[in-house]
Amino acid sequence: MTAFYMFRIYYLIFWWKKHEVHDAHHAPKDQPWTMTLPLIILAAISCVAGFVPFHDMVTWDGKELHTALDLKVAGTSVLIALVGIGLATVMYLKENPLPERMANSMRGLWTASYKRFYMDELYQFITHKVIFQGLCVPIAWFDRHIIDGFMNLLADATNSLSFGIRRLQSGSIQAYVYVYLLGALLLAAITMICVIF
Amino acid sequence: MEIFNNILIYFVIVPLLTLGGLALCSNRGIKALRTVAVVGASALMVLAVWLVSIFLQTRGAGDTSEMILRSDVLWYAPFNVHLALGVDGVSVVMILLSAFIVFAGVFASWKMNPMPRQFFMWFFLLSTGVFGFFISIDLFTMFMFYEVALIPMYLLIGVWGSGNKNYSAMKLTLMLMGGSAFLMLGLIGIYFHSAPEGQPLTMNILDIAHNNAIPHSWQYVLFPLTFVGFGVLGAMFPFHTWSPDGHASAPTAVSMLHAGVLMKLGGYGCFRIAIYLMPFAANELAWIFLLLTGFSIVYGALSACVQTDLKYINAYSSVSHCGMVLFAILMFNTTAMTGAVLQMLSHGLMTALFFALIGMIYGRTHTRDIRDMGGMMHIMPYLGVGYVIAGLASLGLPGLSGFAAEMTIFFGSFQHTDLFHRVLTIMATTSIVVTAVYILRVVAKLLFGEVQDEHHRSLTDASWEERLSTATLILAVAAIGCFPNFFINIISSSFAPVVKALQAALPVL
Repeated sequence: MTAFYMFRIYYLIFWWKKHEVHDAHHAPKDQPWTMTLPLIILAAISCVAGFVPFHDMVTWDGKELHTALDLKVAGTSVLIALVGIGLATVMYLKENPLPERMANSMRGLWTASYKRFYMDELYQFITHKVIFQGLCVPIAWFDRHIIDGFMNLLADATNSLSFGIRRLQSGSIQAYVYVYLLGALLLAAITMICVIF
Repeated sequence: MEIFNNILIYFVIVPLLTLGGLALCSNRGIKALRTVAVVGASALMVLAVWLVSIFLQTRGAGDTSEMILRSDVLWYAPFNVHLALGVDGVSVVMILLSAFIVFAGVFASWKMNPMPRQFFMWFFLLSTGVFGFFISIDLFTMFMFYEVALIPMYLLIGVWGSGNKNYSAMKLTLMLMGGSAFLMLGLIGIYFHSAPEGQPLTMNILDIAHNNAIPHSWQYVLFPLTFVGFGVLGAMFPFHTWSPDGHASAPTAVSMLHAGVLMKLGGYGCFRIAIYLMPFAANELAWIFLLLTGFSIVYGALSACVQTDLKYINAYSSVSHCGMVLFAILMFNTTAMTGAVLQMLSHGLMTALFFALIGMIYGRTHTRDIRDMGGMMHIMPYLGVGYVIAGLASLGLPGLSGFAAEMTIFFGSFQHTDLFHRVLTIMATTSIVVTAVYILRVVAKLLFGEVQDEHHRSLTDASWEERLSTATLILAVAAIGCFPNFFINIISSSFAPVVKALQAALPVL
């Protein structure tokens, strides 16, 4: 699979279709040496990295790991890789309708894998729809309207209570006397009722 | 008088002298005002650094007493009220934090208009209250300084604020006064049970703790009163709603001082008074407040995600971070409590930095709505970088203060092996991710992306006094992040008496 997709990329970039060069300014140029040099170094190291005896260095029990070249395993791997490369060559070396047709024949699978099996959409859905819209917005609303609303309600209730009992302090003597007399009458009435029964 | 030999009293005298100096200036002489304010703030800074060195020397010399630099002057004999001073590691770092923020706050309100003289006077009165609270160990004196710190807030927001300032000033003051009404009841209750039968009652915190005479039945009443009283200031759910409105309307320096220091008064009071004096009820009732604070942490963070006003975002983020302070204090072990104090420092500096930057951005764009801004990184790179640093500190990037504090808290709280504490801790940890969401959302929207308003292109970057103000805070944030051990050494010894009291109050373990 790796061999297949690496060669697919390689063929698509360098072989598939000859781009017309309209403008010399935008024509693809070879990169400057600051990029070439690291590339050469990395390429050179990749070529010999397989011969570095890692099995002597990385162990899990402190002992050397004994390795041997098993021709059956190695041969099969190389063969499969070659098949992959061959397949990529057939499909992508020259511009041809084969990939398009294959994609059409497995449209669902192709779309799913083109969209990276919808993992990003899933994350986007969870963060945006569930957490942001479903959790944060209600919490912010709750905070502003319920919790803060309760505090405002307390303040408003105090305010209207004071507004209501404000009349008790009107400063008008007649009103005071009136209330005083009513109260005295009420007390007298209660006393009389208590005495009678 | 002997008390004047104590360095602590100068933390109250210096702001008061500055206040007097400012009173002598006139509103037109802005240079004189600035000079006096800067001299006062610098003197406080020097005092604070000096205090730290004295503290380290005393501890280094093998003095392991609970509080050092103690002085005691009788104030009012009938109630046995003293001006009792004393500091331990926690108060020392809190004083250092306040000094830093007052210093940065003076520079952040450099161009305060109108009435700069009155503004700075109230500002220094507020600082007097804050410093006085941290140096005293007498319930009455503490409460008095606490009120001194609260009341100026009303005028500072009501007169110099922006937006819906009358409503916000009223709401903030009333809610905090409501809290302090609880607190006062609690303190009176503590006073009347402060000593065993037949001994004189006392207001001294250390004496009360040693007497340990508050009956358990009363602790059940007094602990919630004091904890909620301080919890209101510590923005504990559901008493936090003053914070978004208050911060949004307050002028920059006031937001800085309020979020940076005043909200720490809440955490400090919960720790020093509620838990230390009533360990039995603290143990019994901790679960209620753990639920509330654990909820605050997540709730504040989630609310911050959908706000569009920069100050609201920061205010809700403060609810989350201050919730973490109380949450850690309630974990009752040295590691978590150390984390709580680190978080107080970290949150204080970082929020002050945030509010300073927001104030500076607002002063230029005249909007705080993130939907109306964008691409500020090109326009004001200094402020932009400052904002990113504050944001990274807030979301816990290693090397800045938030990481050291939150790691310590979660290490401490996970030491509890029971399901309840573990589940709460896991819940609280999720807030780190949410914090990253709302911080990066703002950074992406505000600093990068398209410039929303063409007029913004002509705006200027920070001036020198703004750079000085923010650089002080950034340095402090980085200092805590890079050298947390220095601060942990100062504070960690202070928890032994509290943890001991808590363990003594526990039923057989």
